[in-house]
Amino acid sequence: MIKVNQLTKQYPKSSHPVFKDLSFSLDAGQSMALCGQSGSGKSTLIGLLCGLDSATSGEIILNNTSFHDLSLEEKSDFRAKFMSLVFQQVTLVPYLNVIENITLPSLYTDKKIDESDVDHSLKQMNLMSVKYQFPHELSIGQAQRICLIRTLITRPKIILADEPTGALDPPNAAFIFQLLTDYCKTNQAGVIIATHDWSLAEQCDHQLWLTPRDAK
Amino acid sequence: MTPQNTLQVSLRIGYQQWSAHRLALFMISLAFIMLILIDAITVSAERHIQEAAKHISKDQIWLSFYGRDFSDEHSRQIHQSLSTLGRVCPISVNYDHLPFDSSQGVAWIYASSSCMLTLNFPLQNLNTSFGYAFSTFSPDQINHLNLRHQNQSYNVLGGLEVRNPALRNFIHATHIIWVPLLNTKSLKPTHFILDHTQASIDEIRATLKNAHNWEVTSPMKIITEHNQPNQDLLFFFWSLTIIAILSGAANFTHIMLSNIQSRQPEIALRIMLGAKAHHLLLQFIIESNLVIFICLAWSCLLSPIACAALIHLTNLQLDIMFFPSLRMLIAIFSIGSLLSLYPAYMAKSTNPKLLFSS
Repeated sequence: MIKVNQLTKQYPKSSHPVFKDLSFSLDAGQSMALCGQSGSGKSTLIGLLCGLDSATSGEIILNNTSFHDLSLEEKSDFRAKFMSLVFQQVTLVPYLNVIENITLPSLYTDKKIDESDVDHSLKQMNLMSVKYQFPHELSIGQAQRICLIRTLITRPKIILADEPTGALDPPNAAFIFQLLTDYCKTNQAGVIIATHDWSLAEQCDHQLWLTPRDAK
Repeated sequence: MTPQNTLQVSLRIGYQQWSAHRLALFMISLAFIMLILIDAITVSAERHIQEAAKHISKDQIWLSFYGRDFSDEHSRQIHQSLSTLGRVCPISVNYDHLPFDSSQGVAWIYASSSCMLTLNFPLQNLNTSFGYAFSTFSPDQINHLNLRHQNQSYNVLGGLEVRNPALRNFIHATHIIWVPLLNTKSLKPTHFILDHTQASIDEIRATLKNAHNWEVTSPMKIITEHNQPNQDLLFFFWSLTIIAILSGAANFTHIMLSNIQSRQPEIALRIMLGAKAHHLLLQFIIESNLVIFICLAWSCLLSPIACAALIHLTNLQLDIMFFPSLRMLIAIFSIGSLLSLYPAYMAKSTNPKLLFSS
């Protein structure tokens, strides 16, 4: 599902690489927690995995496709087709209501989103009452769950989450984590979650600890 | 998201933009109001000229020589000069017969008065069983006239200059014999109608100007001159509009750029969800045009008031316009689309990495 070989990333003006010769693999139906202090390269790795950044050296293979060989346009297509991302900040469009935010991906891809699926997910997360509300009317926990519904509704093969629980209280954080790991199992998807929280990271099948290079 | 949703959402954004930048965007509405006024003046003038032109023969020229004596020799010379160029109406200083043949004379009177009616001169309508012809003679001089043409009786109205000084300007001569007269030798014929082709008008004009210093004009030219005050007003409005458009365009571009700056996380999210450059370009061009549409809607609401005020202040013959013409709409939305290209390009260049936590 996800395979990383000898991956090195060094920014041009930096004297140290963010990470060097990083290798790991993740099978379908498995989850991995990326742990580490701030600046250890968790977001950089997520950026590389979703094709927004390019590695100094090494190889990333996602769903049997080598990212190295893809153009920017192809990476974008791949991302839209197979991948979904969850971010720490709430990424809802402020002037779209909840249902419009959830169905937003269908505007840019050929993925059809049934309203019945959306309703099912909203009921499952106890959010049916906010279906037509706007983001400013939601709590942070509700908004993050809406983001998660939008991520999962397109049934992605790969989910990359960049500290999705960073702004949440522990119960909400645990709930989000649980949802992601459950999705991974039931849909045979690969999930990588960057987190500071070791207790949550332990819920994943694998843990990858990143250390800042200058701290070594 | 269905197309209906997309339109609904875009309208929502457009309305939010309008609400957030009401004052700056009202400047654009003002520019549009002035454009509608310009349109109204231009369209009204064009329509009036077209309507007026329907009542005149385009191959006519009018010959005037103001207040000078007109001898038999003059008549002969003119006749000779013009007869080589085509058919000429009878011209005579012998008042024992008509200077025009009666049918053409009456037709010309009818045409001229219809033309003037079209230009909103306060004349009586000719569509009555008893027609009206106009004369510069005083009313007591015209009692003996009994004009008939094509079984239509014409009541000759005298004292034209007293009735409406505007007519005197329109017909472009101080003393005009409108109605052919018998036995009125104290009057001098100073105005003639000539049937001729447009191609020869310049030649006739040059011939008569060189030989006799007489002025030759055409009905179309007179009607166009009648429109001159509109041109001055148009120049004034265009000057104001250009200033308003330039400041409006600067405001608009600034608003759209700051809008994109403040919506960077949203744009980054759209890119992460699969939005391509053309999706973003299209979205921001649509949004910009919707903002312009809202400005335009306001100006459409206010422009009839502006038209009415202009009519009241200038006594202008103006059709009240509620909407700009198609050509103006195309121009407005083309400018709007052009102005939105740079902000849309900036949106397309947003780096989605800003969504990451560090």
